[in-house]
Amino acid sequence: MLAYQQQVYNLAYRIMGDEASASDATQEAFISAWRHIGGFRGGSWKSWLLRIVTNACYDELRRVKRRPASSLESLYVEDPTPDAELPPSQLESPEAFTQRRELNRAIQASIAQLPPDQRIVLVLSDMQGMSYEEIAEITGVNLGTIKSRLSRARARLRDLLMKHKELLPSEYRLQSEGV
Amino acid sequence: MARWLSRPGEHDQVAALLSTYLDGRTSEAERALVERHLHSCADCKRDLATLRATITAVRALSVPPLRAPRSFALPRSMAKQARPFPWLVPTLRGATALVTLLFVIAVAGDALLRGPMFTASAPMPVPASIAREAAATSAPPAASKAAPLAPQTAQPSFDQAASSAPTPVAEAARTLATTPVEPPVEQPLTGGGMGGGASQTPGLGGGQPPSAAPLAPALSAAPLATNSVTPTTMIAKAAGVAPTATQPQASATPAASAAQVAPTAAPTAAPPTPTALRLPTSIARAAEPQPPVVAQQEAKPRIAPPIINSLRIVEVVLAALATMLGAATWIAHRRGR
Repeated sequence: MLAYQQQVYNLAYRIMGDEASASDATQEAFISAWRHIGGFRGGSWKSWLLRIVTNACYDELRRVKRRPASSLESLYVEDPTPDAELPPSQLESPEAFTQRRELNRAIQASIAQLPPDQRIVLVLSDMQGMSYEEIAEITGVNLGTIKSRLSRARARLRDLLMKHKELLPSEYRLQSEGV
Repeated sequence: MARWLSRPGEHDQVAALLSTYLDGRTSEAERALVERHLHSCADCKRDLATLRATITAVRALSVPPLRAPRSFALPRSMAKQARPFPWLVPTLRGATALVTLLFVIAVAGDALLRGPMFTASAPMPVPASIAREAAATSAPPAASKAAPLAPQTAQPSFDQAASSAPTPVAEAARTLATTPVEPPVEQPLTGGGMGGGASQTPGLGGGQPPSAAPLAPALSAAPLATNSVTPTTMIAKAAGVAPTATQPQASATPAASAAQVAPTAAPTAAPPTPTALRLPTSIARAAEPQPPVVAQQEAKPRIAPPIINSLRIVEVVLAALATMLGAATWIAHRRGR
């Protein structure tokens, strides 16, 4: 089970958007998996585990929505993104590194504005690289719903990122300007 | 401008397919539709490019993957405490369901056993028939019918009280006897009287005012004899009162009961009639001035059968048990989560 620890945490982090909530959801998912391990009916162990963490994220999002609370640290820490996410590249200039970091922040902030169902499908597809079938198995919805949710999530995310045109790739800017 | 050249609705259809098209998951027909539309629609072409750039940016965000800040492996102690008794909650649930089912069965059985008893005690068929017969007969014959009953029911020792029926009492009884006939209603009778018939049948009393009038004191004096209102006891009272009606010269003794007067009236009463013969001897016995016996007779119909008492005890025990088991199940479930 621990072999999937990194993947579970990454999924939780992309869905939740912050380290504390992701850690809570990941821990809750492993505890829940331990308690309900008897309910595993075979099939993909990874999908079963990711489904548990997805449900844990759903619960955490609902809990946060009911009782929104901001930590004291968020008042002083401007960048909640962990440094591990942005390792400086040897071939990357400081300007490019800064731009990439800003883009990542903008993307993560835009993802956080998506509805939970769209957010989860987008993360599973474009961040976890899962197929439609795997997403359907994890979320428990049919392929048609997965396609429509993903389409709406991407379109919404694109519209949100339009506010940060200067951070987007050049071809994106050119295309968005209709050139 | 190009949007207007395409068929109506095609633009929206293609716009919804762009995401799937980028993933290569559209059908052949859908892919052909999208590609044909993209040739003529600059808006969709731009949307496709921005959508592709968005996906690329998102995918780049997740590379390289994040490192978990800590290990999420469960401590061995926590794993042991996770489910100390995995069978506890299912067992408690089953026990709760079983006890609840038994409780429902006990309540249903109680209701079934109790129902017929209550319904049978209220309407008494005998009173109705006797009341009809009494109403059919005239008042004087009714008095004569009631009178013969006295010898059967009254004790010989009561002969001394033959002249005890007071005239004022007879007057009061007359007013009571002339009151409108009411349907037999089960009335809890209270007080310890001189043992006159405790049950009353309004039909009889109303049908024979002269004879029933003296009976009224007996009713008020000894209301405790029985619970149910029966015409037979009314006749017994009438029998005891009959002498009072025919012997107005009796000395006024307010404390005397109508039942004590009955023996004296017996010799002067007319021969027994079929109606009078129907009177059970138990009713006549009720006329005896024995308060303890009267109390027993009163309590008898109120005592539920032992099986019902046992059922009620079982109901209480089962309800308490189901409540405790339900609480234990809820607590175990909460702690196990």
